Amino acid sequence: MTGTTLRHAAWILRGNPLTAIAAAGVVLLIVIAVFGSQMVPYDPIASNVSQALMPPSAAHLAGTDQLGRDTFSRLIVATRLDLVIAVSAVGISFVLGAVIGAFCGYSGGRLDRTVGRFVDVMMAFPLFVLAMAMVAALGNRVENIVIATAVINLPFYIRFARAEVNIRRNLGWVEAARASGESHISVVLRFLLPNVLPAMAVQMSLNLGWAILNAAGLSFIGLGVKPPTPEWGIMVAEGARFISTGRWWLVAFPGLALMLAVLCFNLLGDGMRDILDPRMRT
Amino acid sequence: MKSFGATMIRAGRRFLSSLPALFGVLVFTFLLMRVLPGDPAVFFASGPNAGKEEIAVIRKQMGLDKPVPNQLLLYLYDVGRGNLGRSIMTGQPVTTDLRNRLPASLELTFAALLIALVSAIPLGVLAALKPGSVIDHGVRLFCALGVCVPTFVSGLLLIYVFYYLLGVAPDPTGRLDVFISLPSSRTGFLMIDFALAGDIDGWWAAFRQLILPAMTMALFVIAPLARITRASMLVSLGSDFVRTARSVGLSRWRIVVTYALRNAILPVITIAGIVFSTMLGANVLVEKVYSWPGVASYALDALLSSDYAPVQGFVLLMASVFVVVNLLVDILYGIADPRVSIG
Repeated sequence: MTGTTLRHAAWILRGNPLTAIAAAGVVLLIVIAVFGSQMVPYDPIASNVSQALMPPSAAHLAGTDQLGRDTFSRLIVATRLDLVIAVSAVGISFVLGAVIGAFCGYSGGRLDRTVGRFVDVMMAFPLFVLAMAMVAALGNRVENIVIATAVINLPFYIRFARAEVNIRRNLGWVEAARASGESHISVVLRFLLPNVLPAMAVQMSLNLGWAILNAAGLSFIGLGVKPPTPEWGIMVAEGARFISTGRWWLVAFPGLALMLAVLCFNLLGDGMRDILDPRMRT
Repeated sequence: MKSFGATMIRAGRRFLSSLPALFGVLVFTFLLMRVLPGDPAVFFASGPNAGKEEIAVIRKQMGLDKPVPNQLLLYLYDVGRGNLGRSIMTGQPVTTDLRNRLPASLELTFAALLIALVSAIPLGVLAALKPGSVIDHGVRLFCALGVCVPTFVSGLLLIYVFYYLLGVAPDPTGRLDVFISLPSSRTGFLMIDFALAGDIDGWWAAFRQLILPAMTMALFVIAPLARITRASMLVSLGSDFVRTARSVGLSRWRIVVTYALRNAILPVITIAGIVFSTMLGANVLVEKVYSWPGVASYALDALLSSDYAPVQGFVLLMASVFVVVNLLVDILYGIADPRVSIG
């Protein structure tokens, strides 16, 4: 079973080289996230002031920061934290959004209208500002960055799941499931949701890039992750002080890491959408 | 004229239906701010040695001893009278602070939107005219990369290139060099104030200060705008009326700009509205990078020092601007395509 699925996926990826590269990039990111802290040449926290603010060289591939810490090692180690924040945030909003949206789309009526109103209110916020306020309200911790990012993603998943379920609720096979005595809850969870999930998975991949940018933005303005923890957003914030004196590597390399991570997730999402629904191609 | 009236009615109806959302925002921020850590009464007290009694008196003055629903009603009453409270940081009423700082943010955001539109629409049109060409692929690549670079990184890199390497940009802090005298403030928009005062040197200085942050913000939103322009132009160029226009021998410019682009512009307006509100959020990051004295950096400073009132005021202001922008989009819709207002 899995063998066939994998072979099918491989066949599809051969026809979409860009998607294949993106998928390889995502796999590489995961490998770095898991094993990164064992592969780095230097301790990411240990300072060595005699080597402070050195430009990139053979010994320090991405230079060193104001405390002489190796930027390359810090970048590698930071991968885990950045990915964990983004993946768990998107995971939470995916699960909650799918269930809430599916029930709204299925039942319609007052529940649907109330939730719809709520979603409208949330979308009327500038979302980044909402995330900012939430992290400040809940406390300046990493878990709260995850929660805030999950909450600002939630309305999109609710809308998406609602629309997808809504167009299917009166189809024959749903009717048949109901007629054979399935409860409403079981119709939604066992029949409708599995049919909506593939489309939502695409949404999730596209969303991961956005979540990474959001979390990095929050730590850039000083919320959530605290120094000396290596994290891409905070590394840019620390390097920002030295940019007008020409120390570009402290900003450019974490920026590059962010860009590549987001690019991989976006391309993978785009590719998956094209495979799933060729008409959406732009 | 009749269609314009219909547009206004439609826009008015949309406006009324967005008021409950605005009210929701109001209540939601109020509740959110109640959860914030830190006791404002302690901040307002004379000093760190203030006694318990003094703090209790201040709590009473501020209404913090009342139950939360009563506080909410009081707050709504105050907002209704245009009183958003007082900032602990600056000691000024929040409305005054916001009024002083809003023009800076709006000037930046409008400049960014202008740059984005002026570059995205031609890019999208060029890509649509020759799908599959080098230009098309170039635009796609640019768009794909553009959405991946965080604004705070591109802002800092622009500073590096234009301030440090090339030396063409001024010191990237604030709206104006401290040595340049401010024009008599009429609108708060420096570009307009300098122009009204006839001060060309001042105008140029303000322009040079504005251009980098505006470009930073524009870079992030060119991608969605160019993408939608391309997609919408492709549909429009493939339609019957364009084929007819071609067959009667109209000039290429006229076909593309007058007929195809005008019919393709609606989705672009929609996305421009959405983009504007994301830019309002991104303001926080750009204003921080460039120490821009706008409302977003004000709210951020307030947030980091547990100062409720400015944050509430800021969120309310952002939501209101968002409502107004949606209203404008509705009106533009009617002007761009009179058929919309009939439905």
